[in-house]
Amino acid sequence: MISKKLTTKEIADAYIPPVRLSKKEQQAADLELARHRQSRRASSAEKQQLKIKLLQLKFQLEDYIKGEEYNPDLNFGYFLKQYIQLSNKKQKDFAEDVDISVLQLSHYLNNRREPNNNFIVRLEIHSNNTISAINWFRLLEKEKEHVLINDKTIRNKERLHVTNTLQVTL
Amino acid sequence: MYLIECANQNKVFVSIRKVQTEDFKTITIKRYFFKWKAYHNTCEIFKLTLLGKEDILGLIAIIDRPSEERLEIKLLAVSNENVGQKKRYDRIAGCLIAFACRNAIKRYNNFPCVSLTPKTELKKHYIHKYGMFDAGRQIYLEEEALINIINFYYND
Repeated sequence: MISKKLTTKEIADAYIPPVRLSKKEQQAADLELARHRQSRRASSAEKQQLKIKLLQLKFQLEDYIKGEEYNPDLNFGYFLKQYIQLSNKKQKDFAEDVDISVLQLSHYLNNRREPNNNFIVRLEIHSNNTISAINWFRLLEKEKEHVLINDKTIRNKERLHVTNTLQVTL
Repeated sequence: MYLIECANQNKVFVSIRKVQTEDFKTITIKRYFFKWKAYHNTCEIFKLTLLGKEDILGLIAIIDRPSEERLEIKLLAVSNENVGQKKRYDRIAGCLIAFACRNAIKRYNNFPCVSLTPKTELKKHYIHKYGMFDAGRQIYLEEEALINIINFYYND
């Protein structure tokens, strides 16, 4: 029992108690909700849809860069491709929007070339500040971090360029 | 995402993570009011803690309804010391609801929705506090109302 000393407002502030409905009641409640949503949907603007899709991408990007897992498929090109798709743009039109060549865009999309700061700032501006340049930057950093940790060949190769290594171990 | 410490109005930052099986040792009815373990198999249960801490200040159980692009909040509770006038922290329930809203958008990009079936006497409070829409037996958040909750609770 919820304490009788609490007001209904205090209860609502602290709890959402489970409500048990029979199967029939649940079906009726779900149908009622679906109809209500349907009538709202009919008046929903295209702009609202774009907003939801943009937020979805933003949250996916934020959670990926904050998480500890590295997934090679979730690279810069992947997120950029998602962004262009949700904008409903052809690659050519998007390249024009952000003032780069189609070839350059293709390199970014296929991870053949690392985007510079100018480009990620342009992405921030293009999304009307919804997806920040710093998050695009962190995505690139996450890829670099993975390479730095795991790429043994780079260490072997660069060792040849280093002399007079400090003779200390920590 | 943060709570307000009622005594001094300071912000304290929080994280929300999935409840692990071992958490149920500390999730008692006395402190969290419901039999949470009974919902473990049918719901996704998440816990809110202060950032870097383990003590659970609030819990939410969610059911995913993919065919309707909807997450249903089955139950929610804040820990007993955070209920009523003498509560230590404010905003726990709101943060958990905002977390559900953010998850709805992460999972569904057409018409993501968060709904709940309220006790009749609590319905108007949820509608008033969270800007929910009234669909009769159930109330829900979608579109701008859903985004507003996320913006309100996630903006530091």
